[in-house]
Formats: sequence, C-alpha cells, structure tokens
Amino acid sequence: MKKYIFAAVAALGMTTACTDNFEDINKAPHQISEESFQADYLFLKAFFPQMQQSIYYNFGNGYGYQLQQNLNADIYSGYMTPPTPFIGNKNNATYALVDGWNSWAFNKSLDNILAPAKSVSKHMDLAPEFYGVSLILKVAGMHRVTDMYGPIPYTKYGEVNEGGGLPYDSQEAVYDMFFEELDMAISLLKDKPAIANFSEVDQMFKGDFNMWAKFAASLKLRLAMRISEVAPAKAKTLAEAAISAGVLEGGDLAQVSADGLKHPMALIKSWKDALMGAPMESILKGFNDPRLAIYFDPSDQDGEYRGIRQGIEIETKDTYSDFSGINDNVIGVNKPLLLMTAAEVYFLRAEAALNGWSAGASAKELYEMGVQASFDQHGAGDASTYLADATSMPADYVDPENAANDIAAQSDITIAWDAAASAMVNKERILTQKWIAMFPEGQEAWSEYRRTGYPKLFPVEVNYSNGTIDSEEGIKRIPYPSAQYQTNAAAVEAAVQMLGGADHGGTNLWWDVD
Amino acid sequence: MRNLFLLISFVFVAFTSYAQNRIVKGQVAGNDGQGIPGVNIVIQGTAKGTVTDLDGNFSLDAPADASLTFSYVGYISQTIVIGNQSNLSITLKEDLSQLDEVVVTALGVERSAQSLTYSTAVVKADELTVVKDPNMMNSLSGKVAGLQLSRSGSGAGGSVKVTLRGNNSIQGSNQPLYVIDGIPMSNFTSAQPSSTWGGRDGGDGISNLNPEDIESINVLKGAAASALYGSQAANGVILITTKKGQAGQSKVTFSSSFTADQAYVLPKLQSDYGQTAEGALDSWGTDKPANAHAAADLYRTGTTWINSLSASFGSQNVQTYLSYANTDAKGILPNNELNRHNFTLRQTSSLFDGKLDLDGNVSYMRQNAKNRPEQGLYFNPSMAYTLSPRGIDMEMYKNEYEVFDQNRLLNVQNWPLVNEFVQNPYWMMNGITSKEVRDRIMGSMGAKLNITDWLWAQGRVRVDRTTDDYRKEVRSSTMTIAPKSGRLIINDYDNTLYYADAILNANKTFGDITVTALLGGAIQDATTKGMTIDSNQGGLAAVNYFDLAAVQGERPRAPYNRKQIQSVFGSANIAYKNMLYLDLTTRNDWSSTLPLDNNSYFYPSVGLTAVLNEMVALPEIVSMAKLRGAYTVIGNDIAPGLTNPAAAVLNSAGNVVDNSVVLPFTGEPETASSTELGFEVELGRFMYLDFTYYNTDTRNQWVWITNEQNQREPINTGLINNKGFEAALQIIPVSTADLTWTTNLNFSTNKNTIVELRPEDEAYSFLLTPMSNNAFSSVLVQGGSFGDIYGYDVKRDEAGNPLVDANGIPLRSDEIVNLGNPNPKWQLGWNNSIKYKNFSVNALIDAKVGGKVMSITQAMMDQAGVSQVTADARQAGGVMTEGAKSVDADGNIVGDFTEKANAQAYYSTVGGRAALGGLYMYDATNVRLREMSLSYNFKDLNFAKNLTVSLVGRNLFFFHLEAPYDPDLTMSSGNGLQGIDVFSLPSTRSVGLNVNFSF
Repeated sequence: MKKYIFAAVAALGMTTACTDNFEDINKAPHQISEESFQADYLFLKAFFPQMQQSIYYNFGNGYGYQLQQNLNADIYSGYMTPPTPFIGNKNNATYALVDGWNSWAFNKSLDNILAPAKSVSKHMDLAPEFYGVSLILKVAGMHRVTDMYGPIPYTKYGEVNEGGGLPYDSQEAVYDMFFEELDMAISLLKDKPAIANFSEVDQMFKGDFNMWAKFAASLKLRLAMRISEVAPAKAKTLAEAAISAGVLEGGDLAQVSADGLKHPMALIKSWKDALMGAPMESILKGFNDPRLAIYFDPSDQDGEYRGIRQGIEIETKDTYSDFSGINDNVIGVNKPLLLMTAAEVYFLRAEAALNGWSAGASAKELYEMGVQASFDQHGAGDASTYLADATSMPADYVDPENAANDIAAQSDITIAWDAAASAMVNKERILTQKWIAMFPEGQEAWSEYRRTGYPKLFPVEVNYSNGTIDSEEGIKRIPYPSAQYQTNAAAVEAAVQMLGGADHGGTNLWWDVD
Repeated sequence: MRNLFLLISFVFVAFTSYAQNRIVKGQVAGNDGQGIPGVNIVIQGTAKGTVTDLDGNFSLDAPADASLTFSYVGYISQTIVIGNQSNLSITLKEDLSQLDEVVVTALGVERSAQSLTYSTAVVKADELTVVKDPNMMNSLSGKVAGLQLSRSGSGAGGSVKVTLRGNNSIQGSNQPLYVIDGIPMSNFTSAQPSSTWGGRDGGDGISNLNPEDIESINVLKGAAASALYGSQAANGVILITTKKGQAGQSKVTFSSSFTADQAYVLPKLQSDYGQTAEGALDSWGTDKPANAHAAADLYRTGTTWINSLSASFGSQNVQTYLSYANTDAKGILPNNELNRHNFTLRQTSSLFDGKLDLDGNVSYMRQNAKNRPEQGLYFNPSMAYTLSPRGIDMEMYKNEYEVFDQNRLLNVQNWPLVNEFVQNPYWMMNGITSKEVRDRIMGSMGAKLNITDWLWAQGRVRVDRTTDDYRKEVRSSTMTIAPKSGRLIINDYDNTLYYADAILNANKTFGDITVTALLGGAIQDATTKGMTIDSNQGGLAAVNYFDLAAVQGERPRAPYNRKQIQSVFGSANIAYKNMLYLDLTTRNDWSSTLPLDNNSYFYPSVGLTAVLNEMVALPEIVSMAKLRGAYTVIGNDIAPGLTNPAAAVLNSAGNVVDNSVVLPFTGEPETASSTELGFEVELGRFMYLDFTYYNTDTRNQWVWITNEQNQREPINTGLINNKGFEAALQIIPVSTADLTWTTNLNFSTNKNTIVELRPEDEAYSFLLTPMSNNAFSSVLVQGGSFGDIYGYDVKRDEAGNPLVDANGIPLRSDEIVNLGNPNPKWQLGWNNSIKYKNFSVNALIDAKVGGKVMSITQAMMDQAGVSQVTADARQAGGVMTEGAKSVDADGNIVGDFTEKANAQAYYSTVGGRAALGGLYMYDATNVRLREMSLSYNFKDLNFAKNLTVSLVGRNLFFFHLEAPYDPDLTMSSGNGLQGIDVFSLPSTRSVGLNVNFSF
C-alpha cells in the first residue's frame, strides 16, 4: 500500500507549479504586444495622436472635455454659459468651485501630454524630429494648464525625485522652459524633409515640419505676449525673434483632424449644457457682426440670438435651455479641433506693434489682417465694410427670463481702427477682435482676458466663493486638485508658496499683473 | 482466453451464491410506529443492499446467515442477524444528539458534526422550496446567523449580495464562494451599477439554479471551515449539495408554486400642488391638480410561476435523478419578464462491488430576462414616473406614449417636457427595450476508487460555461441619452470555469485514535471574454435600425480576463475517543494573477474541539456540550491583468495611448487571519445552542492608488478587522406525536474597523463609490468602517448649531463628512414552526437593527416638489431649522434664525441628486415578517406518496421601518453603492400557493 501512497504523492507533486504560462494567462485586455509596438516604429509614433487630441479635448471623451475646459475656461472667457444649475446652482459658474471637475485639466494633462511626451523623449537621439514635435505638443498642452493653476509640475515629471514627491515649478520657470523647448523644436524641425512614419500620425500639418516650426514660433509669440506685462524686456526679445522665425499667416490654421475624431462640443451640445454666453450676444449683436449667425444658432425661444449671463440665479435647466446653442459650423461633430489661427497671430503681432516692437507691419495693418483672416476662416466674406464701421458698439444685454439680469454694455469700443485713440483703447480694440476670432477656444480667451482685462465682460451676480473671488475682477485661477494635498502634499504646499497667495480662485498668476 | 475463463467462473460463483439466498421482507419504523422511508439496508460484509420505500417497507434477497445493517440519518444504526426470520419488524431509535449528523464540509468531504472545529449552518431543502423566489438565495434571508443578504432593486431574478461575517476586502470580492457537490461554481455577473448615475444588473450565477435540485445548503461562514478551498473562499463558502437518485426507490415529484407580487414601500407623493408652470419639470404650483398619478399605478401585480418535475430512480448499481423546472416571472414593472428553463441529469453508480463510485452530472439552463429595470438616473421608468409633474395627464401619456410625426414619418415619443431623466415613463418602457439571454451549461464527472477499507482516491472535473447576450435598443426621439437615429447597446460575455482535482483520503484507527487524512491537488481556470459596443451619440446608419453593422463611429471592445490557480492541499483530522478532535489543514496556491517571482503562497489552519460530555460527568439533562476553537490563515491573490502592463494600450475609442501611467503590481498576496471560538450545548431534543466569536484581520489588501505623478499603481496596504458574535438557538418546547413546536433564533453582530489604510499617509482615503457630482459617496478611511457613507452635512458652528443663510436655508459643510454606515449593528432571525397532525405553520421574523441609509429618491422628489413632505411643508408655512443661526454673505454669524424658510426655496436647494446628504439619511432599522407559510400534508393517499399544499407569503409586512424605502435593497452586488436608493424598483410583498406532489 505504501507504494500507492508514494505514487499518489508523486503524481500530485507533478501536477503543481506548472506556472510557465502564467504570464500569458495574466494578460490584461487591449494591451499592445511587444511585437506590434516595435513594428514600423510604433513606439515612436504611437503617442502623437494621443497628444494632438489632448490639447483641446480629452482624447475620446466628451464629458472629459466638459470638465477639462468647458465648465471653467469656456465660461470664464464669456464664450459660453451652461443653462444647467449643476449642484443646486453652486458650481464653477457661480464661483463655488467644484474640485471634482477642476482636477481633470490637471490630472489628464499629466496622463495625456506629459507621460507620452516623456515616452517619446526616450528616443530623442534616434528620431530628433519626433522629439521636436513632441516638445511643441507638450508646450501647446501644458501652457494651458499653468495658465489655469499657476505653478505646475513640469520639469521634474516622470523622474525619481528626492523625497518621493513630484515638485512643482514656478510659473516663471515653466515659461522659461517653454521658450527653451520651442526654440529647440524650431531648430530640430526647420527645413527638415518629411518622414513617412511621422506623416502617418501627423493630424495637424500632414508631415510638413516647416509648418510645425511656424506653429512653434506662433506659440512662442503667444507666450511672449502673455508675459509682456510682467517681463516686458524679455517679452520683446522673444516676440521679435518668434515673428522673424516665421509664424502662422494667411489661411494657416493649427488644427487637429483625423478619421473618426469627433468634436467634443458636439456631444455637449446634444446635452444642451453649453449655450451662448451673454458677452458674445452683447458684442456680436452690437457690432452687427456677420460671425454671429456663423457661430450660433438662433434661440428656440423667439428666433433671436440669445446668450446667458454667467453667475446668475438658475432654478431649473429648462429656464434657459432654449437659448442660442453653438452652430455646427464651429463645433459640428466632424469639425477639426482648432488650436491656433493665423488671425490670432495677426492680433498678437498687432499688439506687439502697438507696444512699439518690430512686428513686420503696423498695428493697424496687422489688426485689419487679423479681422480679414477671421472672416476668411469662417467664410464671412470681405471685411472692409465691417472694418470701416466706427459707430457700432457692444449692445446692452436683456434677459427675457429675468429682468434682474439685464445689464448695460460694458464698453463703448468700436470696430474701425482709430489712430487717434489712445494705445489703451486700441489695445482693447485688438483684444476684442482677437476674442471674437478665437471662438470657441475659451482657454486662451480667458487667459488673455485675465492679462489685459479685455474684452470687458459682465460680472457675476451670484458669487458663492465665500469672499475669495471678487465679482468685478472675476476669477483669476483654478485651485489645485484636493487629491494633490493627499498624494503630493509637500510639493503642492511649496507650490502655493511660489504662487504667492492662497490656493483659491482669487489669487493672480505670475503674468497677471493688474 | 484467460479472461473468458475468469468471466465464466465469476458468473458461476454468482449463480451458486444466488441459489442459497432467500427473500427477507419487513418494515422499518421509528419510535412512533411510522414507517421510515429511505433507510439504507446493507448486507454486512458486502456492498449489496436496498432502501426502504415510502412506508418503510423493504424486500431483499439475502443469505440466511447474513447480518443486515439498517442506517438512516438522525437515527442510531442497528445490525440484525436474519436467522430464520422472513418477516422483520425493525424499530430504529432516534439519535437524540443532533451533532451525530453527517455534515458536508469543504471539498464535499462528509464528517460528523461533532468533530467540527468551527461553526456551520445547514439549511434543508424544504426551507428553500416552500416560499420560492426566482433567485433562490433570497430564501436564506434571516435563516442563518451571520449571513447578511441584500437584494438588487432590479426586479424579478435580480442579483443578491451575500456577506458572511462582514466585508474583508477593499477591491476584491466580498461575496462567498459557491460550491456545488464539492466543486466551485461560477457566480458570474456581467454588469453591476458602479455609481449613483445607475446602470444595469446583469443577474448573478447563483440565481440560475433550480432550488428543487438542492438537497441542502451548508453555510461555511468562517475561514476555518473554508480553508481547504483556499483564497477564493476567504469570504466563506455556500456549499450546495444536490439531489441524486436513490437505490431501490422510484419517485416522481411535481411541484408548482405561484406567487403574486405587489409593490411595497412606495414613495409618498403629494396631490395638493400642481406643476409650477406649463412645461416646468417641478410642482411648486398653487392649484390643486385635478388628477394626480398615484405612486402605485405605474406597477402591476407581478406573478411568479415556478413549476418543476423531477424523477429519481435507481438500482443498487446505478441511480438516476432527472429534473426540469420552469420559472416564469412577470415583474411589477409592466413589460419586465423573466423566463428560465432548467434541465438536470445526474447519474451515480457503484461498480465492482463498491470499489468504484462514479458520479456524472450535467445541467443546462436558459434564461431570458426582458427589460430588467435599471436603477439610478438613466433609463429608469420608475424615476420618470415618480418625478413627473403633479397633475400631468398620465393616463393619456400612458395610452398615447407615442404619436406619429408627419415630418419624420415615424412614431415618436409623446411628452410635454424636455429632460434627460424625466421622459414619458411609458415611452421608457416601450421605446427603450432590453433583452438578456443567458445560456449556461454545467457538466461534472467524478470517480472515487475505494482502494482498501481505509483508503480511497478521488478525481473530479467540472466545466461551467455561461454565455450572456444582452442588447438594448433605444428608439429615436428618446431625449439626450440617444441621438436622433437611436442607440444600440450590445454586451456579449462568455464566462468559462474549468476545475479539476485529485484527492487521496485515508481513514484509520489506531487504538483510541482515529486519523482522517487527505492530500490533494487542484487546478482551476476561469476566463471571461466578450464583445461590447454602444453606438451612443455616434448613432446608427438608419433611424431605429438596430443592427451591429449599423453602429456609427463607435468601436467594439473586447473585455477579457483569465485567472488560473493551481493548488496542493492537505488536511489531517485526529480524533481521540470521540472526545478531542484536532484539525490541521494546509494549502499552497500558485496564482496567475501574482508577480511571476512571487506567485506561490502557503497558509495553514489549526482547530481543536473538546466534547465535554465525553470527558467529564455533566448533569444528565446536558446531552452534549462542546468547546471549539480554530485559527486560520488564508492567502488571497489579486485581480487578473495587473502584473505586466504593456507600454501602450488601446483606449475606449480604439486609439493607441501611452500606458506608462499604469505601474505593475509587485506586491504580496493578501492574507486573512482569523480566530474562531465557540461552544455548543444540547439539552436532548429540547434545546440546542451554538455560540461563536470570531475575529478576522485581512492584511496586505491590494488597492489602486494614484501616486504623486498621477500614475496608477496597484499596491498592498491596509488592515481591515471584522469581529463579532453569532448565536443560533433552537428550542422545541412541545414535542408530542401530534404536535411539535420548534422555535429557532439566530443572532449575529459584526463590527468592522479599518485599522489601517496607508500607514505612511493617514489622510489617505479610498473611494469605494465616487461622488460623481451626486449626494452619495462611499469612502474608506483609517479608523472608519467599510461602507461609510460620505456626503455634505449641514454646516454647524462650534456649539453644533446648524447654520442657515439669510433665507433660512441650511448651509453645506465645507467638506464631505461621514454620514453613517449602512450595515446593521445586529441582525436577528426568529423562526417558529408548529406542526399539528397534518398541518404545519411557519413564520419567520427578520430584524436588522442599526445602520443608516441615504435616499436620493426622496431628495429628488423634494426638489421637484412632488413629495408629500413638500406638501406638508407648504401647508405648515415653510421649513423650520431648529436652533439655527443665520450667517451673512461673508460667513459671519449674525444671530438666531427663528423663521421658517420658504418650502420651495428650501427644497430646491437642499434636495436634488446633489442633495445636502445629511438631511437625507435614515435609520435603516427594520423588522419584518419575512416569511409565512401554512401547509397541509395529505397522508395515506392511495394515488400518491406525498401531497402537500401550502399557502405562502414573503415580506408580508414591516413591524418597524423608518427609511422611505426597503433598506434590504441594494443598488449593486459589488462593494460600493451600499445603503443608497436612487429609484430602485420597490420591494415586493408576495403571497401565493405551493403544491408539492410525488408518486
């Protein structure tokens, strides 16, 4: 009998621990195999669609975009207002800042911009052009993030840092790095021949590296103008260098389009969660601007173009849900994601010229080229009549649902260039037209509004910020995600020191010197 | 040639021995003179024998000098020498010590109850089949100490969540392992809601069984009992023993059960104030509406028919059990149906004079669930109906839920409101439809070789395969949740479980010491894969063209996970003179889910039982007293697919994305160590008490964390402790030939503490259910308890006075705070059963005491002004916040606030899905009449062996209930979403008739 037992034990011993195929068994779904990742240099090109579609957008995720930008910057820019009284009307629109929403822009930018850029940078020697483009995309994605929060983790991301945390950089340091990276990108890309492997994943310029260099220089110009008040001398040097390097012009558009790519605003439109903002109504109506009917749908209420004021009493969604939506011309499901336009660049140059910097043309010329470029972009025809209009001004706003929200126009700015007007007024003129032209990109519009105060927007009526945000001044930044205080406490506390004020919506950013 | 010779001699020997036999007849009866059916009669020294028929009669060919052994569970066995008798009359004595019962333990090993070192609870077939439910697990509620059962608020045949001795695991399953005849089965669910936004319940695996096939259910509550099943049994085991054919007995049983089910605990709607204005969603109007729809009118009386037919027959060598059952349930929500067919064939055989036992079992189940109600905010007709403005002509919108649209040449939804949630409820039932078909096949085979009288070897194999096909069609003109062309959702899943084991078992006595030892190995492999697609806002190629190929813009996903566990295990039970029992078990698992260099883990258990009445002289009244203790360690693996993340993955849109933000798991297996102490006392048949204390520490839990770089990393952390008491008491105050009264009490209490979550970061919290912009979240923090509900509470000053704004409306706390825990502090089940002659009455009272739950249903009704609460407030002139202090715009306290806040302003602010949660917490304490049955058993019928007719009821009424819904309902059978109601389908009260007929 002993031999039976022995045989049985031996048999059991043999059946166990055959764990050779465990690695294969334990595969998670939808993982790219090592073979596929190497084939045709996927490891180099794989992440470019992800980065390109994560700058304005949340990569395949409509409600993600809503949290990333639409429920903050798109409102604060005056472009759009939700008719929805989210959380009992205590939400971003009424300055009751919602942490669960506002952490998206922060977290998703780390995942969808910094992480893939880091992965691409591992191969910078093998493929310098890929690396160059990744730097541009990194700046294009992350400058929006620093312009929301202030100091952000940037230069130390993805590295093993002493003490275990992820340190933040001051906004000035982040901007310095942006300029360095853009210069590096321009030098890596200018006049380089196309590379088929890259062209396949280029969803912006069909593999044309010179266009990428122009986009990089345009971003450099945008960022240089951003710091033109806090560091004017540096800004001048950078802006002039950017312009002479060659920037977007004529009909150039930096925009992302790809098969199956859906404009995130189309989904949000279907929810009726983002309608026309009251400042858009006031300014476009007042200017008799032909872009009004291109940008917006007439309201279901009375066929008029009707916008909603930000920060008002709203009890139920249906009160305002029949106001003007955004036209499919701009945000139709198959429309490209617009990152930067030649029109914006003309206005940036116009402002530079107004500052007395060398911008390649006069402020007036550049201003008018900007307006015409915007008209061309939207098929609005010849802008000369519009540009000659020296009388139309922003209109008073009337809320047909609630007279308490009626408010007079905030400015008497006109369209036609007035050489006799003060630099301040002409600056407002440039910024107002730039604001119209950049629609629907609320992030840049909000940043420039904070820097310049233009165009003049309506203040909020209802303010639940507990006194942290001034209703007249408007919101200055987005607080850090509360999760950062849990996972990265020491670093975020140091960041608040760098911010130079409390971590709430009323603290000015570094470049925002009023 | 030699074989042929052997065969001939065998036949010859067999023939000659037959020639010496004669027929012995007789009857076996109990003390009361009644014949006992099913008594096993064996000719000693052989495997031959028979079984008594229904009246206790038998007839057997036996040699004259043979001794016959008569045995039957619950009776003391007897051996009789036949001698010259030809007609025997045997009286079996009842075995008063119930602990001599044979109990099925882990791996299907049968052991005497007396020897067990841990607590188990047996539920017999008749407790499961008298008051039937489409999910038979519901029949266990209130019957087992320490078993907490919640049912999904998703209608007929919905999932159940079973918790034994508390929640142990943060991200792993907290449900027990289900085992059929010793082999694990899959309790597969394809979908559960994961946030208060809602979702569908994909049903579970255990509900697929036919309760008529079940002989008994044994609940192994603690780790000690289930250690041999290893990691998957860390939350206890529900051991199911199925019926098999009986030798020498033919029986056909037909059973039919019908219940009528009525919605119970409905939301309270007001009928004094109409819609605020035409087209408005809320009801803050001033006029009394002419007709206001009643909460109950949405629902119909549901019906549940469960019919089953089974046949069991067999010879000494081969026994067969065959059954078919049909379940047909019409839910209380019109158009919700569940239909199920179960087929089972089991064949057991004993070959070569009992040397080889074979057991084969195959069962097939097909289930069709139509329009299983979803819970939460979307696709929920209950919600749309309840929140619809008061005074809306619901009858008209019911009859004309769609109208022909001349411009679109299509029938479209007819509804006066624009809202994603509150659409026409009848459109939501007819314009949005779903169907879920499940096919399941289970097959198993086992062979047992009796090598000698003390050694046997066994091998078993099982395949359990479930295929789920779910599709949902959302017709055009459904607002927001479908684009203009409509929406198609398809979720197809295959779940396959393979299991095989080999066990060598020895049982030998050395003087006073008996050793039972077991050594085995097992392999288990489970795979889930499928295809899912949701056309969502991408739409369809043509309006209402519900075809997979018509899906636009969205790509299918291919969910996949597989896990393989290989194990060796051994156990030894050493008994000394039926007085002391020592249990030792060990097991080593290799799991595919763990890091390759660290995938093997070993764990032991030890248990000791002392039978006091065998050791010392106890008063005569004490027929048995026993002390037991056990210490067990169980290791547990993690979820599949975490050890080796690729550099790139496909996201939900089918794009390649960087995966460097997901780090691999490099940690250890979880371990749960538990101590169990208990005693049992028996006073003859009169009283039996089983008391257990347990204490379980679960360490090294795996959780996802987001590190400071925002990378996701699965790590080991945390320590969760569960401790508590369980007591089961049975008293039989009256026991005469005609009248028996049995009363059973079971009591349990569990205290759960999150002792540690992340020691390096005490502020760390884990979101079991994220807030998702609604009022409810479930958060684990150090020092808290599993399932703690977090939300906003009323803001208070330092003295605890509530703070209100200038209009008297309470302010929200700055942070979300702990609002309470949904788990009961203690549970009590009290069952009384009285048998008088042919009548029997059974009543089960079930009490759950303590715990708090939240109702978003009530909060949303209040905000919409449709609840009775808001009507009362309006009539009272507003809402008073007692002891309130008012606060100005800058947050300074200005003084006492003693006025009433305007009801509309108040509820518009504090109510809604993102309500001020602290105002919507309710005491979950409830006491109910869980089950009641009245049966009559027709005896002495000529045409039948048995006919029992029962009048049955379930959930008949509450003795006590404070919450506005039945707190037994759960939104999910997973770990999150406990203690929250977001328009779950109401609980049902059922009454019915049950007939059991066998011949």
